Amino acid sequence: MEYMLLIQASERRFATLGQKEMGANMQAYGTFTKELFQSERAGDCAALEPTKSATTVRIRNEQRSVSDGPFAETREQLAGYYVVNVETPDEAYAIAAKIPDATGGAIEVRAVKNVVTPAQGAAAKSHAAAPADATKEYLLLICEDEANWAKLEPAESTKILAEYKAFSDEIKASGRFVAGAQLGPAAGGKAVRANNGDRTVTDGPYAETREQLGGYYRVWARDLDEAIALAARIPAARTGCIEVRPLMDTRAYV
Amino acid sequence: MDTTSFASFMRDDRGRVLSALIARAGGDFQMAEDALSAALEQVLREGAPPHATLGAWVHGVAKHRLVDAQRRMRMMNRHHADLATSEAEQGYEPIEPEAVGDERLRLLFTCCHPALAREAQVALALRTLGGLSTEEVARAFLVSGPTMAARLGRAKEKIRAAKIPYVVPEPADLPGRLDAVLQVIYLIFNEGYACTRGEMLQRRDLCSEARRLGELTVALLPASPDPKALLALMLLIDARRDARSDETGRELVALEQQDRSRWNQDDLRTGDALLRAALESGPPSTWAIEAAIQAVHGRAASYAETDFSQIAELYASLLERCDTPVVRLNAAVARGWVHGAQIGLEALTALESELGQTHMYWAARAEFLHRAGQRAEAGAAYARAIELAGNEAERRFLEKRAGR
Repeated sequence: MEYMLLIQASERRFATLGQKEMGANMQAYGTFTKELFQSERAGDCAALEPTKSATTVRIRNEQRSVSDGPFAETREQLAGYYVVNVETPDEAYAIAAKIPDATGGAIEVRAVKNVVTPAQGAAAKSHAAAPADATKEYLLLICEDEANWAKLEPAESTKILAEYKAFSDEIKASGRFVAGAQLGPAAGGKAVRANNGDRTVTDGPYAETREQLGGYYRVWARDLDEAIALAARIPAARTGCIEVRPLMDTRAYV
Repeated sequence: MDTTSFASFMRDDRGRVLSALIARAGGDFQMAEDALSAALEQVLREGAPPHATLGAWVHGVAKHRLVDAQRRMRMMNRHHADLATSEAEQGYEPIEPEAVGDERLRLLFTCCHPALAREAQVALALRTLGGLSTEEVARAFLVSGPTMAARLGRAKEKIRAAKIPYVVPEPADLPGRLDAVLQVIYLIFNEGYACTRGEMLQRRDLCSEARRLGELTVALLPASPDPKALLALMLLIDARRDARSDETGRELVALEQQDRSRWNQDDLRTGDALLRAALESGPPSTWAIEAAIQAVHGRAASYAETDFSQIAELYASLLERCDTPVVRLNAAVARGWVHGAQIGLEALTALESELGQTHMYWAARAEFLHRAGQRAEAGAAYARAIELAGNEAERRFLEKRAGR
């Protein structure tokens, strides 16, 4: 079974790090990631640029609306993620606790319902497979009120799922697609924290927002405009929103 | 470099040179700005050769600085794709005047990208295209210098990190993107024409910059009516600039009292022609309706002869398209002009809950109360307006009206 480990860390603390501490932090992530790859547990993984580079895309009344942000008032922000393939939930929590930011921050562990394509080692491979006209990777986070799905007629949800499949197929054909996943309900999520070798696993976190992370696409794009155009075609843009986050280039460390 | 030529460079050439540098830096605003300030510092210290024009010389030095910075960046980040800067490109080149217009428009569209917050869009446009210092932009927004520096830094960092492209959008995307550009130009104009805070009545540099940017959008999108309508609106308002303040330049003169012989006839004529051109190419936009309202004022020989019923009709159709509190206030005032002070007061009262915290509301109310002969109530309304006004000149103007 697959789990998505979402790294929730304080950007404010990150910004205060000196060059040496920053280097040490990146090295720690590099070592962790290499070990994870060697254990053959790792699927897709990525580090994100800070939330101040985020853009939100919505479609309302067939009009595209693009805005700066979001800037949550929370203490911690999504800084990156790993998708892991494990036998038991406990194994996922154990891996989460070893992520450097599990100490000081928290790792949100969400069950993956459906992987768009198994992206074993996607991070390492993606640059070799980058399309010639696209130089930047983006994470398109699908945010939607889960309750909406429950209310849909079966015919409607079938139609929307077909739309997702058509979108996935098309971005695969155009070479834009890197990885993607649909997540299980947010209510089943856990938060893992590490402290001096001890690990705590709690229910949640329960976001105060109406919209929850329901899945993601990781794509190549020429620039933010193309990433926005792709985001606008995801069905959830009409009912929820798509958060577009640029990826950090971490090839020097992994 | 003497101070006069330095000042004229900052006024006339800085924005153009900066936009060209940003293009060369692949859209990296910070890198371009750093190169330009390093170049200015060097030229101030070492001077420029006597035969060189200052703008071209600074541009040349800045390009060298930029190439150095790019080389350092490449060394630091060997993994990054090579930047397309060859050795051959490093010679001093004068600025090509025909390329400059495009650069400025690219810069404007990048500053007005919807992924940036509106405040950041205006601030960035003022800083880069308007050539205002960070301190001046901060003053226009009523925030401290460091706060504005952080806001500008964040916007530039987002352009870099999220890779906001440094381009004029594709024709298919233009309609959706043009409006933000026009809004930002108009905000720059308004900040110049009626400063929101402080001692000064007008900031002519901001008005001129907004007019220049307006002309640029008209030149680059000749088929689109909206840029024409916006430029018409700005010219028709700006035509009154000299009549709008008294001989000291510090006191506001109401439209009613303005000496109309001091209105700029060239601006009025050009504004009218642009408005006609905009109206010929399609149904009127809100810009065109607003310009038409100003054109009615512009055509009237005196305040009393103004065709207020036409103005009231134009406000009514503006209200249908763009129902904002300020438009509602103006529509209510226009009704008062046509149908009398009592009707105007009734229309205003309906807006009190949403506009009761603005000086415009109380000033309009005071005016109608005064006309209706309700002197005591008028005095109280003026007092409230004076309390809420942010601009010194505006406050003195209201005090004078109250003292009639």
